[in-house]
Amino acid sequence: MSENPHMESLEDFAIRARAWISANLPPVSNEPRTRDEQLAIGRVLQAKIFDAGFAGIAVPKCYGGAGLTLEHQRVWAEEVVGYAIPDYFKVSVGMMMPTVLDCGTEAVKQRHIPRILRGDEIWIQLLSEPSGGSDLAGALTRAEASEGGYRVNGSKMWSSGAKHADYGLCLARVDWDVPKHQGLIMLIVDLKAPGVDIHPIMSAQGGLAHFCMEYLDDVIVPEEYRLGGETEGWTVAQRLLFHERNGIAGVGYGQGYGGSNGGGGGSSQWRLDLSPIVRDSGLALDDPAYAALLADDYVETIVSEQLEARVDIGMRSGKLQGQWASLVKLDMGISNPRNAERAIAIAGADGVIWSDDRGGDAALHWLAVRGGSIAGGSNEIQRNIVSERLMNLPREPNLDKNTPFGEVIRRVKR
Amino acid sequence: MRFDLTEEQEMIREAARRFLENEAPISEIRASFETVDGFSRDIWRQQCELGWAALALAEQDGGLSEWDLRGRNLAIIAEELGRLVGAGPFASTAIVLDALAYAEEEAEAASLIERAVSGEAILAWAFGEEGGNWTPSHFTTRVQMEPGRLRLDGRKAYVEAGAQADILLVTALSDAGLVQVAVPVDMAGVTIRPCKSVDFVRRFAEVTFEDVCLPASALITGPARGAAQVERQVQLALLLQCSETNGVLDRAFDFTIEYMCERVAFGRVIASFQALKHRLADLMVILQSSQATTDAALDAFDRADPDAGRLARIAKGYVAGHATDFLSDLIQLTGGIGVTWEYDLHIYGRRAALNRALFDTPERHRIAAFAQARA
Repeated sequence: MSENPHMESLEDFAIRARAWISANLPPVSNEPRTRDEQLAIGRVLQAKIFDAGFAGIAVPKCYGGAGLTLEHQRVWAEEVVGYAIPDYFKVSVGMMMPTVLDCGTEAVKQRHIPRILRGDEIWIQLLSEPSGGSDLAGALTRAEASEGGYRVNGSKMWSSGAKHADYGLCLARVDWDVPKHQGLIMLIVDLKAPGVDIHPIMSAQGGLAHFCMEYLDDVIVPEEYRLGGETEGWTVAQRLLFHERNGIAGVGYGQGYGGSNGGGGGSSQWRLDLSPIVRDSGLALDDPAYAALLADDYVETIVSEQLEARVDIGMRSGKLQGQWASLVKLDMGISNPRNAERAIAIAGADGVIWSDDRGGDAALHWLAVRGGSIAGGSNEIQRNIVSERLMNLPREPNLDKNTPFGEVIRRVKR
Repeated sequence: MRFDLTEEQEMIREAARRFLENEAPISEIRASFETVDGFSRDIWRQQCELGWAALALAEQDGGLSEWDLRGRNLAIIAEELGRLVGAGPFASTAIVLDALAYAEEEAEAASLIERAVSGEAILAWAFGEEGGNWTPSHFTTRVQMEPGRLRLDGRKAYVEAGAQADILLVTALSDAGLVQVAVPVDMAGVTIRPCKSVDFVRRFAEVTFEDVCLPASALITGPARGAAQVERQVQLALLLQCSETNGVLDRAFDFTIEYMCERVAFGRVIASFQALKHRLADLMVILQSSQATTDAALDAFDRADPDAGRLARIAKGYVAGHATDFLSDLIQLTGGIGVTWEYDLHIYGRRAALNRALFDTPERHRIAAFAQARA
């Protein structure tokens, strides 16, 4: 970005942001809220932030942003620490919006970016499918040219918050006669359009997860709602994943939420503090049967935070590239299930049989914890990234890279 | 290695690495295996000329480190020593110099410091006692403080360079609390018995003190500061040990991967097998976590943070808790050659095993850290 001599300095911006934040944003609250309550509160907050000119700080003014830089965005992110931020929009504003900004048509950008920034519209990604999550480029959802645009058929899975969303960035296959990365298209799907059927996914713990599954049945997408060229879907997807990584690392367009939590949802979401379980079970913290488990869990919790801080410093100083976030993700994906194992070990009977007022946390945590080791790139994918990109070991052979995708499908099914 | 070294620290590291690669490569370590002392006094003197011992002291005490960078500067040397499983009394000298820097006014510390910093005198710390006893309140070694003189009785175990040292700093209980005294090894009543250790070049001894009579100036740490100073030395010992182990892990990891990128099986280099790559990725998490926790604890140590003790124990609990298994896995990944005498991995494994147990086990340190967090 070229240096504009009239642009507000980072120091002036920090002062202005700090004053506005302390006067207008509530402090972080630990009050338990349902997703619907979070969304309602979030919408009010997001609109307030937008109206004050602090949403889309690095977005050009013509699209409703403040026309400043990512450095200003970063200053904002530091200033809002400790204040309640509408967490609900981290995908919409932090990851989808910049992808649209990079790859969208002018008409779409003018129409939608201000609405995304204000929280009036929520955008999500439609990438994973029931048939594949780790291998995104193997998408089977089909897009066919139809009058004035495309007709989309297929299904998508693991899209966060699709129930409340308005638009989704959908990766689909438009050409089956070229190798898999070359035949993809990225379309913006109106989730209220005819043929879109959204089902929340029931999680293994019971209860509806934040994730949804979508069936797309002859959904029509106008041509101007295509991102990038007709066979540039994979390029756009990589752009999206780039913004996702930056969002997670806290250096993107988002409001500052997520901080440096390394991905897959914050570390704390997937860890259970064992001390209350011990107390509730009437055990002593130095019960010899469990003392080592508790101490091990304590040390592992602290060291995971220290690893995250180390990688964060390395990335901020430019000595480590963005892929190092995978190392933090892998650490969590390994250590959080160990935490869950210790939790059910220590909780004993009260972990699996409980009354209304106490107990049960350990079992529910154990049932949920593998979500964090799978979502956002499974442990196995992270191990590939760590060994191949961080350590430069030989890459896995790609059996489908140079073969027309239609033939790959036929060959595998034979 | 941390990402925020100062320019000066980069120079310290560079000079240390160059010196060790040229003057004390692994072939020298192998040659020293058969020697009684395990290290060469001449090389130690050269290392002192490079300023290694003086890094333990702040500039205002005649040393080379900024006041709040002592721990981190020493850790750079320790890590470099670990990379080449180096020899010499570096850690014990640094720890005893820290005690001397804070010595009682009446103590005869200045001349000791001068002789130690030049490498002329070798310093050893007589701390632990037999049966893996690293808890000062359980020590049996006693100092009787009499008018104008001190009497020392007891037995110390696991004294690094005990049979090579000129001066021992002995941590002992007195009626007034924990104290430390400086004892020349040739004093009447001092008996030194060398031990065997798993390590190639690090030597240990048991030292018995029978009615050793010392002048009052031998009292380096008085009872008023005893517990605090000894805790500081324990923290420094743990952190230098963790840094050294990190160097061991880092170097062994590197040459194991190099080997795996050359070794061919079934028409591929073995480093291309996903089953092995995934194990290396898991080891990478452990390696980076070990460095992260050690660096965090060193920062706290240099700030004299009230949490420094807890963080040092977390680091020891993590690093030492993983190191031997880490090396064991590298041996497995290497295959048959990994269990031969000629291949270097066992020398690295030996160092990791020694550091695991010295200054108490990671299992106990994890329990201690958790207890401190609850307090």
